[in-house]
Amino acid sequence: MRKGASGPLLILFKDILMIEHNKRWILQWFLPVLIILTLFYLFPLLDAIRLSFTNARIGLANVKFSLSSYEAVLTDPDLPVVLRNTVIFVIFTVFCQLTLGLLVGLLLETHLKGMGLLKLAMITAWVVPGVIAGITWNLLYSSASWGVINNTLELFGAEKISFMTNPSWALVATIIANVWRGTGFSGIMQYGALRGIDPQLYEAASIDGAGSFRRFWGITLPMLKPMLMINLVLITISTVNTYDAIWALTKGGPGISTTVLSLQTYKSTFLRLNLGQGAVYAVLMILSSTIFTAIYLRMMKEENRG
Amino acid sequence: MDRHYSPTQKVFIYIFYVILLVFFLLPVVYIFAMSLKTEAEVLDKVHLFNFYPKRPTLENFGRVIKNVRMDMYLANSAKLVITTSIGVLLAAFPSAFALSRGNFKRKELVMMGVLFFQMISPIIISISIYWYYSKLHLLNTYSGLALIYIAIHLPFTTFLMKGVFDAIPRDLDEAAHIDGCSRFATLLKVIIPTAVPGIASATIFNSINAWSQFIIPFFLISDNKLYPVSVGILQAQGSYQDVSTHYLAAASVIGLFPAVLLVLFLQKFIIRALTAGAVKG
Amino acid sequence: MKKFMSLISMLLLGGVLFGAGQQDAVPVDVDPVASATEAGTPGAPVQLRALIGSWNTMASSVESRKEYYEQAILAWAEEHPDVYVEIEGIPGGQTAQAMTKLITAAIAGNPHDFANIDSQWVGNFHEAGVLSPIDDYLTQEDKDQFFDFTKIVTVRDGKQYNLWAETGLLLYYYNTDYVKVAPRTWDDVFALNDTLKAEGIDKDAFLTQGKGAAAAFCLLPSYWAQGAVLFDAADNYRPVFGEGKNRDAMINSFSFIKELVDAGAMPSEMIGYDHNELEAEAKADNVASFIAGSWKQGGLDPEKWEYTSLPSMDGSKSNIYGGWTFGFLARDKKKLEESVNFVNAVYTSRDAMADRLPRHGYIPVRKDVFSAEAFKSPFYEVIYKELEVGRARPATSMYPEVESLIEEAMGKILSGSDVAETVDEMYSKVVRSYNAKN
Repeated sequence: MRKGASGPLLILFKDILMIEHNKRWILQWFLPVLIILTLFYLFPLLDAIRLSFTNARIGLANVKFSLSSYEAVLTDPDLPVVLRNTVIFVIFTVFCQLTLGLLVGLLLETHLKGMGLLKLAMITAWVVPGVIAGITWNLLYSSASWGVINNTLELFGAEKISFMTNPSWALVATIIANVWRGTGFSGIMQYGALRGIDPQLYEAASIDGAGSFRRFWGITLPMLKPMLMINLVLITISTVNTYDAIWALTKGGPGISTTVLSLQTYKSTFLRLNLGQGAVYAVLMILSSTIFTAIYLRMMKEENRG
Repeated sequence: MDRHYSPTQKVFIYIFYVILLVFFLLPVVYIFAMSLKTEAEVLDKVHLFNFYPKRPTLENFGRVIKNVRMDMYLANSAKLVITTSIGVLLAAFPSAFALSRGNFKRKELVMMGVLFFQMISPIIISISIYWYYSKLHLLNTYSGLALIYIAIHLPFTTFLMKGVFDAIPRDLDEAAHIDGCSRFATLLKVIIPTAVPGIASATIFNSINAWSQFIIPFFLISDNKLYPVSVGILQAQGSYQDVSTHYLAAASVIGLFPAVLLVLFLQKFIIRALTAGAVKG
Repeated sequence: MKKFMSLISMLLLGGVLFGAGQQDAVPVDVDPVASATEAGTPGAPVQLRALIGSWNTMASSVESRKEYYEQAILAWAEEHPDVYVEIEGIPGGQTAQAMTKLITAAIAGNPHDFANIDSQWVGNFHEAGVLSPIDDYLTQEDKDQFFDFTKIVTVRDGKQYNLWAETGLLLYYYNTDYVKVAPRTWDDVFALNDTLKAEGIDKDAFLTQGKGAAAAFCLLPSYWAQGAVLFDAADNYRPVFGEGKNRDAMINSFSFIKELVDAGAMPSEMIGYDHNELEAEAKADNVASFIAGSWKQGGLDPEKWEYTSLPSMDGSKSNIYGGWTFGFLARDKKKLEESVNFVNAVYTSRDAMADRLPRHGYIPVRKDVFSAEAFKSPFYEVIYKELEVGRARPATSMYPEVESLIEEAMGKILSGSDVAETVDEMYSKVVRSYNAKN
């Protein structure tokens, strides 16, 4: 660790963070994180922002600075649809992952027979790589012979559902597949937090004659709230960033009905080789993550005040 | 905790149980069933009660191990995941400790700053990193790949370890301080041993994430012998002309198995760490 | 404190290097090897790196294909003991990513010496200027054997850069229980639908595909059959499909699909169908006729299913050719020559094609292959004629964008968007990309 290079950086951060002089150790202990994040995230991010102000394409030699990428993306009639898809996808995914995770946590807490199997099932879904999850759900949803879900519906005399071909259903189907894969994380986190709740609180409430529902609203939820908020932020970020499972499942279609911002970034960069426009979408992705997080923080602050 | 449930309560509980169980299990069981099918059976009409293989065969597994070399990809992933898990902890410990024990006014801001990087998706950074790596000759190396994996998992690990350290009573530090331990010795001898459940849960989260990374290893590695499982699995998929679902399924099952085992083995640590209050708002 | 920091950095580096140190050492072995990852004699003086679709290598899960590659590679190695090829496989379903990576690698200066390149991606490689001409290593007789459609893609400014390895095309399949005479024009198709409806036969009269790349693949032959083109090849591949006659043709082609859905000849679910779904529908006896790849012919019951060329607006014939080429990125003359030799020996010579292609269900792109025993059948007579009427996908970097826009447009039109507006919007996007590029 060369001191010469890190010295000015440290002083800068010291001032920004308002760390007192006798606590320089704090800064030094931050160095590994600082260096790694700067090299692997900050520089590439700045590079992406630079590219967003160019007409760069992979393979194009004469790259010029211009606003053409922003102009193309922002005037694209598809952009409102993509943004709408993103918001729906994120909100429903996050809501379902949190609720299902909580439900699984509560079920596991009953310690009834067979709950271990549920935990195993949820965890297995969680470790499936995105691409495989997408391919699997595509097979399940299919209206062809191997489509288990539709054939089962038919068996019970119901109509087939065109999961992959009806634009609204396709978005629902994408959300379900993503919830399937992501619930493991939220479920495990919440189960742990549930177990951390002091049993005496429940006993006291029982003595006061509180029923299960009141115990849940009065004790469980408030005690879980910090964990729920953290989960909310982390799940939102990972949902905004999801692209591989959607690509393998629907390719963003039919039409653009399941194309979210991250997938649009992916399509622009890897399919159309349009680095400039891909970078603009990337900027929009980070903006939307930031906006979601800011909304949550605002919510948290207001709750605390009220 | 001993709780007794009335029969009606149990009925409700088990209704939810069955719905959730089918939801989580169906895709996995479906893939498993597919991995045991012959090519002729793949296109058969199936519903919920008959999608099991009629003439189960292990041949697909043999094929993908022998031709696709899943064994090699598994070994690669294992190496990569171990290196990443260790590296990311080493990088995260000092800053998590500083965040937990240091007193400074803008602690929250720093934490948010670190978590901000979590928002940057690997697709955004992959092409830039390709260029850097190409100049630094880090393409096609595990060192290069492991470094970026470490970076990807660093924000969350720092955040998690800070929570874990926060849950450790400060009395322990003070006792160590009185015994003459430096900060470094305190971290090494007192905090880290106490934080084992938290370290284990960070390791699970990181391993699972590292195990399923796709675009980064795909873009930075151009040597079959170095591919991790997440990329290797897809070598079992044929061209668009082929029916290759059963092979892909067999490769997926092989690829999932170690990850599920790892989680099963380590999950009690996650629960213990979280129960101890590792994650606080 | 400094000590601590350096300890951390050392451990970090150590862990990383531990990973790096584990790479396999090259075995000292003089016998030639053939595997999914290597071909030839290890340690040989000429070392080549290749990127090949894993399905086109010994990684193939199909035993007969694996056998072919093994014996073909060993036979080649026998004659070229001074060459060793390290093979990287392209994972299935990841074509775009693999092609993007290859172009990035070539520009960054570390490309493979030769690579399997999807024919629709060749334009991108030409424009990036990363391919090397290979005319010096080919004979004129050999070149002449390739069908004309290949040359639009493989030859640029009079120089040949690629060897086309295999193709697939589209056929119109019809169930003879329901379809007595195959429709030749769009009017015939609607008439067929009316007949089926009148006879109370509840089958989809005519199915085509809308999922992923299949959407463009199935739309373009009907577009080209109207004499229209996507790009003006003479004018630097300027997009022209939104102008004049071309625009009309594009609108006609989309409208045909929409009208089929409106008339109940085809369910709107077709936007989720590709070749495999159609084959399954056909086997489940849900359809009277459909358009799918030539490779599906073997899977259909020959008692019931006939095949012929695609119907079009006025009965003119057209087709579309997919498939992969080999492109050569090596700059070194010796490496270039040995790369061409390897590709010829294993993939693109007459004998290689005659032996290899039937195992995959691919269609040959050389005329002389059709005289081989495996290709003497009525099916291949039809195929040979089809190979003379269609087009390859245009060799421009704009094509992949057009392809994904066609798929998106198909979805939009079937969910109610106006056809002409959707076509115009699609065109203006491509023009904008084209202008930004030039």
